[in-house]
Amino acid sequence: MPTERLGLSAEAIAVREALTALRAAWRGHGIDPALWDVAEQVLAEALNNVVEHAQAGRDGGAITVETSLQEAALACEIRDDGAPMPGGGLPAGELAALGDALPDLPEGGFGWFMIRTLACDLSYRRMEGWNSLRFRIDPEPRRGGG
Amino acid sequence: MQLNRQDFGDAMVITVGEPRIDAAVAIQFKDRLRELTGNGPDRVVLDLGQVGFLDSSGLGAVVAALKQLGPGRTLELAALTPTVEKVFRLTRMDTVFTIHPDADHAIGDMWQAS
Repeated sequence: MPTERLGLSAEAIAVREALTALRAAWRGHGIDPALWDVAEQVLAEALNNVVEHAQAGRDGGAITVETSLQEAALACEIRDDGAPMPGGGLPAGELAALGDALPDLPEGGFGWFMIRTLACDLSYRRMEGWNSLRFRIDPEPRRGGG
Repeated sequence: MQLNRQDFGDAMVITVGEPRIDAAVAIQFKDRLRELTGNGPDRVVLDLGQVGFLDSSGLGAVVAALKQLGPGRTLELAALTPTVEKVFRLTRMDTVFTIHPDADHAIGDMWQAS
């Protein structure tokens, strides 16, 4: 069961570098590229949230991400030593209404929506000083035609 | 931030030469786009053919770019790669933007419309 784990600092550029490194590592394991693409999208959203919220305004925050292939699915866990999730649970991640006029168009709020749409079995735990977010990325069923 | 503008009559094509529009570059992307589109044709076609990854920050920046163009001007998209297309589709932003298969089609549409 291949596993890839790495640590990163709480910066947007570190998220990019971590995802690029994980992509290369998983390619080396021969992962289904479509499965990785979905995983990368969810990991990006989740890691950005950690950087922008849990770790906001802190210096030297630590984040680790662990991914492991379990049969055809990728199990993921992100841990960080930042602030707990407000309310102790995960955001609902509902898509904001698009509105009728251009100025009403949402420019944010897409992240949790994408996480909830693409990931399975999401769970959040607050441990002693740590957040843990776990989820699984399942292979998409192959669809014929358009 | 690699963004290049070419004007074709009533439209400009902005070619994004970045492999990723993510949280690391979203603000730069939005600011640079504002500078590039500050004058010139009303139709702006964003060629995303080289962009293989777009996160929600990047999506927000594209939406912000549309809004900052102001009334009477349009932002259209061209050459979405499969992963980027999926982000627009999942968030229903594909209903907000006109999406062309590639920049040539976008320019062609303009000539047909005129």
